[in-house]
Amino acid sequence: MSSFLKRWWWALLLVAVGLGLGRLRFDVDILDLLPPDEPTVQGLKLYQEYFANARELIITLRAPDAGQAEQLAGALADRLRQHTNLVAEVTWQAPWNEHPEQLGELLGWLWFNQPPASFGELTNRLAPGQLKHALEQTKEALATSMSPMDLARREYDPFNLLTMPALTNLAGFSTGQNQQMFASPDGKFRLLYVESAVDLGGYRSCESWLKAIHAIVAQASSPAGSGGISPPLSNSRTETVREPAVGTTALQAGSWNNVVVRYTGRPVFVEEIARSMQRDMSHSVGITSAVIALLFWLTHRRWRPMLWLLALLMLILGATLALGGLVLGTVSVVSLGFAAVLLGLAVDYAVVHYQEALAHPQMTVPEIRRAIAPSILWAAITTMSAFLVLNLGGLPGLGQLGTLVAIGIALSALVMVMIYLPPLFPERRKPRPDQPVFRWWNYFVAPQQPSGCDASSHEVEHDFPVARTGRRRGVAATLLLTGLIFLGAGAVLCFRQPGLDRTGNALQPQHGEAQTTLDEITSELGLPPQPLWVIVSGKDEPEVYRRLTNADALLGGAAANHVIGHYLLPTALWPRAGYQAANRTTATVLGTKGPLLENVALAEGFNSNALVLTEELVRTWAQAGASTNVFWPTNHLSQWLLKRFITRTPDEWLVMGLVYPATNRVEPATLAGLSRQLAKQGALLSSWELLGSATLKRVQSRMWEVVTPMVALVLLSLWFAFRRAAEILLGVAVLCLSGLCLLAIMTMTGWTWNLMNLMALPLMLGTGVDYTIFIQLALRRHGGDLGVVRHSVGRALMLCGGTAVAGFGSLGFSSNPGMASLGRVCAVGIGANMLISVFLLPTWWQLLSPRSKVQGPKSDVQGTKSESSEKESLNPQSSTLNPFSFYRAGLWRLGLVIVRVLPVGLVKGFAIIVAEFYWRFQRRRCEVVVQNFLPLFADDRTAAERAAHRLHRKFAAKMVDLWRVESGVAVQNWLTNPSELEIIRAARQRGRGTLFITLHLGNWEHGGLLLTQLGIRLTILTQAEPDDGLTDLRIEARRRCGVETLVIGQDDFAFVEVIKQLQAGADLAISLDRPPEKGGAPINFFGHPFEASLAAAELARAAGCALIGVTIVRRPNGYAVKVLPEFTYDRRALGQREARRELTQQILRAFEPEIRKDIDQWYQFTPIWPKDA
Amino acid sequence: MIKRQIAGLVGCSIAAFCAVATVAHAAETNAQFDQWFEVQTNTHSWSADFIQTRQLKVLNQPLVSTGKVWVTPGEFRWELGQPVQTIVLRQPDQLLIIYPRLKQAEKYPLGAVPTGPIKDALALLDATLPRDRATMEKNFRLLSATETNALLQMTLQPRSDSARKFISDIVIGFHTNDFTIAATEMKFADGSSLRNDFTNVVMNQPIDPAQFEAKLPPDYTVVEPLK
Repeated sequence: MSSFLKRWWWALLLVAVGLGLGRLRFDVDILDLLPPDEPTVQGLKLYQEYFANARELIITLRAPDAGQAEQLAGALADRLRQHTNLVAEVTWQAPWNEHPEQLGELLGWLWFNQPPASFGELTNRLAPGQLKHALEQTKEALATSMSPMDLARREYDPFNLLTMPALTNLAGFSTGQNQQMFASPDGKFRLLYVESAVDLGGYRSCESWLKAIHAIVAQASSPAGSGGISPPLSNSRTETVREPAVGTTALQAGSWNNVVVRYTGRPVFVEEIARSMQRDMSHSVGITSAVIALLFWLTHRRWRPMLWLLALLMLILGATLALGGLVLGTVSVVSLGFAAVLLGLAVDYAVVHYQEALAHPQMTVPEIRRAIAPSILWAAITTMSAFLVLNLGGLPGLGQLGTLVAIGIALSALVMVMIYLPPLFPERRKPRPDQPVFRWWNYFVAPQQPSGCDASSHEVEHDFPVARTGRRRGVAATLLLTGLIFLGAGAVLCFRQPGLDRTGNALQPQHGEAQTTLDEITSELGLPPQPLWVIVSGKDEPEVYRRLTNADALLGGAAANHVIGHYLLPTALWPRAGYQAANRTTATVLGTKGPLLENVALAEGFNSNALVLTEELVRTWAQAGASTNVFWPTNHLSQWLLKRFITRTPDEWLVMGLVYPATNRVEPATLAGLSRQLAKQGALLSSWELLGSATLKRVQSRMWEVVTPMVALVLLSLWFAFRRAAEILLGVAVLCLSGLCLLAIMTMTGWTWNLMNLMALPLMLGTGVDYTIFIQLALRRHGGDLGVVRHSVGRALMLCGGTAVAGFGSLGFSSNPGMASLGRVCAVGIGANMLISVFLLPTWWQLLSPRSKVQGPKSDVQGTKSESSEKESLNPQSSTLNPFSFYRAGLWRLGLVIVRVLPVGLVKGFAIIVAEFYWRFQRRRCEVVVQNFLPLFADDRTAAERAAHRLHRKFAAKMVDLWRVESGVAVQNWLTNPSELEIIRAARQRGRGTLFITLHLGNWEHGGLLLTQLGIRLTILTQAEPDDGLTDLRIEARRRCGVETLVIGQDDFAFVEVIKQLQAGADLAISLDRPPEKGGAPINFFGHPFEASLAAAELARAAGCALIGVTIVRRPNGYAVKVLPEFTYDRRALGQREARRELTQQILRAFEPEIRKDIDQWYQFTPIWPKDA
Repeated sequence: MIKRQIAGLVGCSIAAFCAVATVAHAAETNAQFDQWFEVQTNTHSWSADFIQTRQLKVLNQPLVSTGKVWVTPGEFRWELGQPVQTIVLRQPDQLLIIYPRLKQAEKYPLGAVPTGPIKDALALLDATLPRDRATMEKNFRLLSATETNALLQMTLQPRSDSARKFISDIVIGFHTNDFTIAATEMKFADGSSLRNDFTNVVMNQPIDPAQFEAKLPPDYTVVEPLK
């Protein structure tokens, strides 16, 4: 990628961040985190939006004396009303106390909603002949009644128009509230309902509006009173207590002395939630950052990397939020919990990188990047996958958090891989001149060995031979510890498992000042325990009425069956379009009776005071009579009263009723059936208590939709990262053991699962996968050296894990119970992941990995190699390379089956495609071939690359050929030269045994088959395959072709057997073009120094056998067999090592032309040239 | 307004009952006052006829009705109207208002009344037949006292703010010759007033305890407005 492109990508990212910042909005409504199609959630949202008035602030005022409380409440209301730019309305006493005349409209409307028969009856009652009698009755009642209610009503209702059935039902909503809504029974505690004149949609607008209200209240309550200026209250303060003031006027000092003012209502909740979330997040981020800095300092004692890391972490957090804004638009403040999650993960990437750079001072930054990037990228991809899958869980909040974390992880991986190291190691920024070019896909492929890093360069501080005993003890201790953890956790979980909190407590707003004030209101006003809400909706009045009636019937049945206690539905108040239509004529008639009623009343001694209500009633009827649609009252009092339980959106009507549970506790299970039935009727039953149960049910129902892809993605990512079943299994084992530890600790501490801390699961999965990938790939890179791995990556992971645990631990002290539980569970889970990955996993890995990969250099068979080992490592340079995972018995068998079943052309075509992919994505391995070819092309890299590319394609075809042969397909198309075959016959006739020397050139394995067809029984000297099953499989396959196999392995006595066979005249084959692990002799090969195996010369000296060089290469029309002239030697001279070296030089030089002719079939997949050449 | 009216009328009813037995104190009438207290201390019961005049804001003319009252310490019975329209029974633990014509009754349990203005008004009942000045002064503040034609009229103001919200002041008049009650008047915050003028006052005559019992027929509807 050119530097221009690099800059271009970063510029694009910056633009995206800028756009995201512009689009970013915060949402503090916790309900937006829940499934929008869940009836309980819908009901709660409707309640919050339309009935818990979003713009309504409740101010409570407690004074030592009832009169003082009333006076101050009124004064405060007046003061607030003056600020018309802030306050739309203040209600501090029942509106009908301030404007009783307005009650007339509501009552007139209620009459208009009565059945036509009842309403028509009014015309009789108000007939001219009846009026005098009605007034006399009223006067008698006023003279003799001792009933306060009766006296109050009749005085202002001389015609007794308030006697109607609907008022009985209204009482539940109005008169009760009249007593309870504004003051406690002793009058010392009063409420003011303040409606904002500004939009309070966002939490910032709530914050600034509340600040202004606080200032007004502070000013009103200041000793200077209305004229005084008091310092504004702190934004965080929701309570004002005036202590007795000295030297103030009696009135002012007396007014506000010991008066407590508090605030609650939706704006306060919004501001409080947002502030507490901000505080939690800033504390969490602050503590995590501090811990990161501290641990980093303690570990490395360097300022620059520490500060640079912190700066990048902050940059990542900000950019993630901005990109989250770009993708999501509105981000919930609860989802800001991503910050703590992200810090814990992002720091991993940087620290692992940095630690690797320290551990390998000889490596350039690009080499370190190349070595570490696959670990980071696969870990990031796995974690991102796990978090993105949360979007399938049906909880929007969880999905949003998952998306934010995924964005953040992608950004973290990118930033940490590309940006973190260069400024810290400026001298190592540039790649080496001879360093291969790393393509973008190289960063996804785990290297077998870090560039520029060899075994000797490792900071190995351990003496392996000395440490061997200690290692054995370490293995035993690790296994013992693993067993103890497993058994301990299992034992705990056998007795008890962590419970599941089915309530919505984790989602509820924190119990802050707003909630405390609300609780105080409930207590002081003697309100019943929190009821459940029934929200009935409908597109028009008739539909709402129908649904109300149905809901009424259902609730009535539920009450009768004691499923609920009692309920209140405003069914009787709801206007019925049919009644109103029928009453319209009557209303018109009644609307004209105003003058008549007035005249009669005045004549009977009443004055105009008594007729205020009557006049309003008559006026309302007149309006109702003239109306054409469903008639609704419009004055302030009516609106204030009706909006308590009725509201209208642009699309529909919403009506609220109250349901009181049968006991003092809401039983979600008992109410579930009722809720379902009501939902079918368009009525939503909801409460915070029901919310948890309903949401949890949803989560449980969709659990498999989340878990299945999550597990599949994790396994897939692990596969791409490792491509070894054992390592994937180990990764899963770490996750399982961590999970067991977490569950056991949760059980012992009494923690429970809830809707919030369930989010910990993907996080644990993500970090666990991260750690296992880091550790296992490091083990691969360092040849299973535990000391080196723990010193580099292990140390880094301890630092990362420590910071993550600290970050989440700090979240554990959050004021929000859900966030606190999430923090605690994450801290324990990540801690378990870290400790198991660093201390137990490496030993598990050693135990499960093939010995050849774990141990250091082993003795060579001096040139005798199996096909797979030929392709892989057995020389000092490649001792830490892993065998190509292709060499597994299972895959080999699959290949054998496929070539039997499918057409050979098709299989070859597919194999070539695979080879192309391999060429593209296994660049590190392919580079080995290129490096091997460079000396043959006079360091012409392009030519070498072309040949190497061809080689990979031909190798694919060759493998198919080999499988065909091993599966029993006979080879007939030999291209032989009879005179050359004579060389073989002549040599054999001497009877001293024949050693066929071959190279990794062409289809050398076919040699055995050819000789069998020539009547020669060949024995191949080889090493064991990486997989014992494959070794056996191949021995058996050769045997079927008449070829024997002698596995040399590590056994030096095997050579004795070889010599014996040769002396007995046997025919053996050996390959010679790979440098041995030890004991090689320096020769010149293609004009370059080469460490050659002296195996052939040694056997010639020991057995006096004939040495014949043979190659078999593939041509379009068959297999071309080349038999070189027999290599002659002086057996006695071979007693000298130099003579053996000379013979070896002679042999290999003879092969050079053959190799040059078919270099693209010279399958050298491990480095063959000396490192210092 | 209506709320105040309601509260006012509750207070009116209650204060009317307590006012008949409430004493006043003024410096210049200390002697008469002390004497009146002495009489009250020795009074075990009394009864009288009365004329009740209600001056309401909504009516141009006052409403007048007659009735009879019986009082013992802690108990009283008022009968209002001819025939009786309303009976008010004060028992140690409750107040009953009975409407014989409507076959209805309202019950106000005195112990269950929540703290607030109504309780304050009901607390004035405790001032009924005060035995000492301290009790009286705890509930009322004397605003003025005037003597005319052997009739001492004292204007008292409830000390409780909440009680004062609906009863601005109370006037009690008693005869200085025999220290019997002559009249009571309550003035309400909205300008309304209620006056009782007593005649045929009988002191310390035995009263049938059945007078203070409430025997409600089964067809009566009983409600508790404060519940």
